[in-house]
Amino acid sequence: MIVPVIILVVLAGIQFVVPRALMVWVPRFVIAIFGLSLLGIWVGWWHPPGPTATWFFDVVALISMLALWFSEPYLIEEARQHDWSIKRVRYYQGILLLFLGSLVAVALWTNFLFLWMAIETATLTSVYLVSVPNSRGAIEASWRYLLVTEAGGLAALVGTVISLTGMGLPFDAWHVGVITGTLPVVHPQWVLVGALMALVGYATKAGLAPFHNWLPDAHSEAPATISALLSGLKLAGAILIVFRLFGVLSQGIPAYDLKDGLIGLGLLSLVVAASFVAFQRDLKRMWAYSSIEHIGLISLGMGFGGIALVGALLHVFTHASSKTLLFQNAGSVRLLYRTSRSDQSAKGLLMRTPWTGSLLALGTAAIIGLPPFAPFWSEWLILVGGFLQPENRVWDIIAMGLLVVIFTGVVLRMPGWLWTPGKKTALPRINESWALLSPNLVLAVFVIGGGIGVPWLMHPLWHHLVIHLMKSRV
Amino acid sequence: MSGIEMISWRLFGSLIWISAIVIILVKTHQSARALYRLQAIGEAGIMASLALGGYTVLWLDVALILAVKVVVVPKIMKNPSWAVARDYGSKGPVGLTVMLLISLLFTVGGLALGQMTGMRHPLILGLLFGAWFVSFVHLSARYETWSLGWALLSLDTVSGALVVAASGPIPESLEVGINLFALTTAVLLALLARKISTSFSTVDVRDAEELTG
Repeated sequence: MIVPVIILVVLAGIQFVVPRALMVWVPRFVIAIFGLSLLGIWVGWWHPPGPTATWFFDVVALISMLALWFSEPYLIEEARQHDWSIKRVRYYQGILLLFLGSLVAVALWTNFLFLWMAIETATLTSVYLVSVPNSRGAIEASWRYLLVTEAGGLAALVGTVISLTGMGLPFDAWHVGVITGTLPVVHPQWVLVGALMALVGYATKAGLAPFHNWLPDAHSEAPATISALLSGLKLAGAILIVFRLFGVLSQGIPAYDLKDGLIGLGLLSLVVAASFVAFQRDLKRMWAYSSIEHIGLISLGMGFGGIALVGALLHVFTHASSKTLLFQNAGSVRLLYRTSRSDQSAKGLLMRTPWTGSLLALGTAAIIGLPPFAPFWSEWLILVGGFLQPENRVWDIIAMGLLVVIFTGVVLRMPGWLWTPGKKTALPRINESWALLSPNLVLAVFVIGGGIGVPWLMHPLWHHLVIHLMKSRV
Repeated sequence: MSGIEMISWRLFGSLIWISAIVIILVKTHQSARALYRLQAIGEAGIMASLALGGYTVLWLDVALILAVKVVVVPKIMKNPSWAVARDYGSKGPVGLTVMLLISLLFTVGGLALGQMTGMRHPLILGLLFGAWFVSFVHLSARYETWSLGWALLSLDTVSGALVVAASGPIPESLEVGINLFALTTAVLLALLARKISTSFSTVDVRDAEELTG
């Protein structure tokens, strides 16, 4: 499972040295490789290790393809508007490919220490990518991102080592899902202490409250493609690692000790999102708080288990596709209006840029959980799954209440971007670029139909995944 | 474990712990750099003790840690005079005393954690846990970019030692990876500290807080 990662690392290296005229071809080649790898899984040429890994790899490959497609015209326009040097563009593209390689590693690797290395690589590469615009905001955001998430990463490393050592497992057995049956636990206290440390560490990487303070800054200041990939893939990757680690640890200590942590952080994340989302005037910052909400929902689903866990894994895809659409769309807004703030000139989007405005309206309807869009189905599974368990019903009802608050906050704020307040003035239309719109239109198809369509299209994998998840102790 | 090994474990563990505390209090970038080197020697010493105990492959790790953390990282973090503190996070005797008391409190917590049954080397593990907590305190106690940078690198070194003390030797590829991360973190810290200095004309992160809400 190291080959796909090596291919991406080699291509990243090539991106640093390739002649200027060929620079656009390396990301295009990567798109083709992702496409081929998806096709390969479809026809059975190769299989990632287990249904969870296959599912997450599919999400990573699909979202990465669409993000790279959007990245090309976006980068050209961004570089033109802000006078990026060719060297900066080259570094950006090369490190972006390394970042994607690390996300693929998170999906495919199985050893917990190698998974830690993969998510660390994702963090360090994305810290650089967040700082690329070189604005004061981007520098501040990347500094905070580095300090907070690296501290979290080291907590995750120590926690992982202590918990797995406490289980009495040799290093060779520190793999996802290799243990069957119950183990004679050597030191349960150490397992629990380590598990909590790992939870805190990976929660920091995932942006779960109260370890989220880096996230709104990093997501709002990064280039749009990076915000999309961070929100859609990296956050989910971090929470997926801790879920898989808990899958092993729950064979040694009671699963409810671990599930309570996921439920607690999930609910706290919803509280934070509900408290802040209604006050945002920057589009990207609003979607950043929405990311805290949705990663909180995924954490809740993993904590509830059962049907909710199936919903959580589906939400990894539905959230990634919706949020990629929204962040890329917000990037287009910044390019077209030179800002994404509704209290500046980013308003009247439906009139001045109807395609961009319509995609924003569509993405918003989806991300707040309206049917029939994709996130509705996964949120439904999470909430129904929680409600079906008497011991989790109270937490589930609180989560529903918080989702209503978030829904109201976004609905109240959104007209500020979509329409122009006050008297209608004849604001001029702005030309929209089809190069920027096309990948977002494809994403819109997934956002509209992906909640049911993707599990249906990938029925054999989805069937295996559901059976696998329903057996999970976490 | 032989007597000499035990003594060297305690010696190097204590070195890491003391460096983690003193690095919070120092006023200049140069002093922090010297303390970080001492801490790295402590980590290498723990590895060397294990190597002497039979894990001969760990001599490679000792060399790697010395090369990366004693030579290369301090070189990357070698900043010009702008990085010297403009103000001091724990000003005056009261600030200093409070910081020491907090460090002591966290050390006691670490030692208590180390005493939980079953783990090998409970004292060393407790001391390293203490140092680990103290490094987290450092991250929230100081405001200068250079001091925060050293705090993160110190946390990285303490974590490396803690991992080995808790679980024994880890595979070579992982040790290389962990050191590579320390190196990359140092590069990013130096790069961003320089950008903060250039864009905000400060080394104090409190002056770089434009993003709120």
